[in-house]
Amino acid sequence: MAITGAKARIDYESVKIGELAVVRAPRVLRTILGSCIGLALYDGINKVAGLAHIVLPKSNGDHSLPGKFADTAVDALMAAMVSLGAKPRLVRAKIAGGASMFKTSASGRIGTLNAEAVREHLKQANVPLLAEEVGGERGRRMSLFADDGRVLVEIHGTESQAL
Amino acid sequence: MKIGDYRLDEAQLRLLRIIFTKGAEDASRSMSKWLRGGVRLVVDEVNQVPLSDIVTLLGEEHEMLVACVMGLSGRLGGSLVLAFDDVSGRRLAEVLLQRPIEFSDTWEELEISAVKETTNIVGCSYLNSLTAHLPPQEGEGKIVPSPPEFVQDYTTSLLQSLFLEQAMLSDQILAIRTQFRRDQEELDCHLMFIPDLPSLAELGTSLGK
Repeated sequence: MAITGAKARIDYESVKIGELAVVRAPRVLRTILGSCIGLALYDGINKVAGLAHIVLPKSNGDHSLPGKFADTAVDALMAAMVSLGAKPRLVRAKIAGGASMFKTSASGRIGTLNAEAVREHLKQANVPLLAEEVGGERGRRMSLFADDGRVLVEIHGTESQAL
Repeated sequence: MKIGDYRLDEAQLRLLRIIFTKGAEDASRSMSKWLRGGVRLVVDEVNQVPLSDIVTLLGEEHEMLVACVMGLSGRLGGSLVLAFDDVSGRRLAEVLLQRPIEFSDTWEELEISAVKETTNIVGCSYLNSLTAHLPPQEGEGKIVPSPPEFVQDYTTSLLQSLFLEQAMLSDQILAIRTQFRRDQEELDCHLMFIPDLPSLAELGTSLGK
């Protein structure tokens, strides 16, 4: 018997700070962002999705956490998606985050630098950037749905936005 | 700089705990006077934890957190953060304003002012004590706080921004967390000291690294 009014439970796979994850449809990836950038990659034909939680623009040779840096995350996320069956030429990107949370901290400038670095590395990898929701002063919750590639961005106390 | 350059050893972490415990004792006295009741601040975490686990320091990643943040300059830079869940923050404001507070999504200016002033009082007391108990050094020895900034957001969003400077250096971050206890009441309230990169180096040097 159908229960009207009940919401279907969605199992989100959480992507922690500096990490990356890839899934196939119908799974959903989710991360929470402040000054960091969430990089969502999606192959809509093969239904493979990847999400990286990027903390800083440059790795300076540190390869311990490839999802942590803009200059290592794009390639690492793409490689992980290919291992699940994605084709690089079919992959599209969306990004969110890069907020300036505090007047007293260095995070504001880093957020902007993170966003610039991600755009640059996507360009180098020939991955089209379809949409972005970056900047501002508030944290964001970003969800990537592997069934259709939609990205939901929520800022507490406001309507969620679909990218 | 290599990752892990400023990883403190067990002996250094023990010394840090002693220093911060003295800071917490002095802050407890100021806080008790301010709230007209017995408040104890207890250092419950002095440790280096993986960057990906920072959210576990203050709750669940998707929960909302309220915090007052003071930027630090002088001998030690970084941030001092008074963080609490919404209910504990409102209870604190109720005690200070001596009137019941209606719960809503937004905080009133007077409530914000009350928790900011609390941050000022407890933070300055804590920092004065730290200055007094850190090993002496030449030149400017004071730690100077900025006025507190009030923020309300996802726990993860706040913490990742606060620990950003440390994340530049290492995948391990140094967390110094203090728990509040007021009379018989548990307050889900923490004071966190988050040193920046030069201060991590200064702490390492001061403590004999």
